[in-house]
Order: sequence, then C-alpha cells, then structure tokens
Amino acid sequence: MRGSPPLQAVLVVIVLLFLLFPLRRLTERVVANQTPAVTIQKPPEHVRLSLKTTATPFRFQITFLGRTLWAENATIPELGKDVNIEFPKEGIDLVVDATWDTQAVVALQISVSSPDGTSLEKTLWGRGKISDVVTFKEE
Amino acid sequence: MLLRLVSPLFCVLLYLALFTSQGVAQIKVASFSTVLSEVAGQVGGKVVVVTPLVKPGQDPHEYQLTPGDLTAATNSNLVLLSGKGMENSYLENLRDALPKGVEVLAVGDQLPGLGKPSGNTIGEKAEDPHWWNSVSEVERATDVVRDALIRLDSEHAADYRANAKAYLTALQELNLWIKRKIAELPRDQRKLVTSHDAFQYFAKEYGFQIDSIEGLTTEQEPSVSHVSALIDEIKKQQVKAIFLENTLNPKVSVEITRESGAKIGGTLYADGLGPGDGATYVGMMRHNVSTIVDALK
Repeated sequence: MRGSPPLQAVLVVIVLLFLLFPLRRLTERVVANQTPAVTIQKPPEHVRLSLKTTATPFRFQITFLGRTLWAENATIPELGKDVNIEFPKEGIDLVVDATWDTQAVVALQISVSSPDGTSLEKTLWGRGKISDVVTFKEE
Repeated sequence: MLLRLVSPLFCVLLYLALFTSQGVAQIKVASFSTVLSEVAGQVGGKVVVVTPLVKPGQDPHEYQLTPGDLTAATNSNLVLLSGKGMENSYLENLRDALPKGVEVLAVGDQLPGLGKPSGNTIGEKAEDPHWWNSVSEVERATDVVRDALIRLDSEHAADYRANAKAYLTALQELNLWIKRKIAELPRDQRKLVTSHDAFQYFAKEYGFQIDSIEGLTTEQEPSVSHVSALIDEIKKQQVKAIFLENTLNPKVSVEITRESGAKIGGTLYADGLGPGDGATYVGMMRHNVSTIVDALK
C-alpha cells in the first residue's frame, strides 16, 4: 500500500467528516412527524335555540356535553334562547328532558339555527314525558 | 283412613307433575352466538332450553365445530347462528350434518345490514358481521328469534311475545342510556380505533369515525404498511386513545400507542359476551360505552 499511514488516517477522517452530514440526514428521525399536531379550537358559535310544544305548562332541560344549556318551567308554548356553543361540522347532540302535567300525547319541536344561518328542526313525541338525545347536523 | 287421605293427594301431585312436564322445556335451542344465547334465553323463558356452543369470552372467529357441539346442535329444534359470514368456516359441515327437522336460523342474515362499510378510513370493503354492537340490531334480532320460537311452538306464543316485549323494553332503556352517555363526547372527537374491525354498526348508530388494526376477522394479521398508515392517521386525527379487545393479543396495539402518542383507552368486548361486566348484553354495552367515552373525553 502506498503513502504514509498517518496521511491515510487523516484522509479517512476527512472522508468520514464529509459523510457525517448526509449520513445524519439519512438516519435521524424526521422531527416534524413527532411533533404533535396543534389543536385549533374553534371559537364557540352563536346559536339560536327555539322550542314549540303542544301543551303547557311544561318543564324542560336541555343539556349539551354534560352541562345544562337551558332549563325552565314554561307556561307559554313557544320559547327561544341564544347560546354560544361549539358547532363542528360533525354536528351537535342535545339531551332533551321534558315533563308535562298532562298524560296525553305531547309533541316538542326543537329548532337550532346553525352557524351559517340554516334552521334545523327535530320533533319529539311522548305521553306526559320526553327524554331523548337529538342530533343536529348540516347535511 | 291414612290411605284415603294420601291417595287423592298422590293423584293431585301426579297430575301436577305431568302438567308441569308438558309446559316446560319443549323447545331446545343451540346457539353459536353468545348474544343470541341471551336473546333466546330471555325470549324463551322457562319454555326453552338454550345450549350455548360458543361460550362467553370465546373468540367466535376462531371457533371450531366439535363432535360434542354437533351432537348438541343435532338434538335441538332450533340452531341460532350470528350469520353475515361469521360461521363460514364450518357452516357447510354443520348444515350437512344436521337432520332435516332442525331449523337453522342465521339471525344476522335477517337484518338489513349496513350495505356499505361506514366511516372506516383504512381497511377492506366487506360486510361487518358484528351487528350486536348496535342495540337497534339486537332489538331486530329479538323480533327474529321471537318469531322463530312462535313458528316452532305456537302453543306458547303469548309467553314468547310477553318475554320479548319485556326484553325489548330493557334494550330501549339501554339505548337511551348509551345515547345520553355518548352525548357527553363532542361529535368531532368520536374517533374509535380498535384491535379489529368490529364496530361498524356501533359507529353508524352513534356517530363515530372508525379505524382498526386488524380486519373484519381476527385471523387476518395486519400488514406493516397498514399499521404505518394507521399510526399516521391516529396522529393526523389526533386520536386520544385506542382500545384493546378481551379476546385479542394487545402487542400491536401497545406498539402503536408508543409510535402515535395515543394512550390505551381500555379493553372492549367486541365479539360478544365475556367474563365480568360483559356477562350480560346490557353489562357488555355499558362497559364498552363507558370505556370509550371516558377515554376519549
């Protein structure tokens, strides 16, 4: 083998130094993939809730994500309330509990104005009592 | 004197014994589904004897027909199957071996089904046989079993109807409880990743987006590319938790949590009833829903 051993050693070190950067690029984990995605919380939307029933008086409670949005002892058949809630494109579920003094068949219409202004409606039926979960979703 | 008293008493007891034996255990049902064993027991009441051939906690995908189970099925009036392909590996042998008098009812095949896979972003396109993960489907299955029992034993039709009505009331109460519990979870956080693809009916009924490590059966091993895509999807969708199953090895799931940053949300009963909370259908569904909602909240 030609050349002096010290010179060869220096050449090997230089070659390794040149290879260091590309080797590091090839072997390191892509940091971007490990960074958790940033959650962008949508601000609460202004939503109008409306109720219409066939009999009065009645008591009701509307729950959203485990918290009471609206609860009243009502003596009139039509009521409305503005609330601020998150309204994702997947929709929202409202838990509706209502009771009437009468045991006759009663209906309760629940309307929700979605953030883009569309009005979504659902009607529930019962005999003196209604307990259900209604989904409002823009199609 | 003593003989005069005992003789009528003996006659009454004999009559009651004969009358009772006519009223009990006229119909024998063999069931290849843990959920259908419960449904048949509830609807049949004291009139029906149910022999569960697939036991709670047993993986129905891995079940193999044994001579003893075949004998039990042969001695039955009605054989209940999950249907929708669940029993494909032994169905032909079973049908060939059973006498003509035995009615074979694949209950899942009587249900409308999903038509197409729902919400599964990764995976194959085949029909999901796990219909019992939707309470509405079990309600329909109860009607199917009730009608089959009435067909076989019209004498006790009123009993079957009354029993089915009581069971359906319990199922409706369960479904309302599930809907209320799931309503605690925002709809945009309903992302369910499970060990195998057994929750399409659940996802459709309760508004979940689903992915799974294995396919529709537990016999299919996941490919490296599928696991890699799933990890990417979990990161992209910011899925908080993935779920194990009581009949499956958790090794791959645990590895995925390491790579994706999601946690293990708990263990679900995917393939039917099991030990502990899953000993009854109501208990099984309550366990599954509580586990899912509490982990994803």
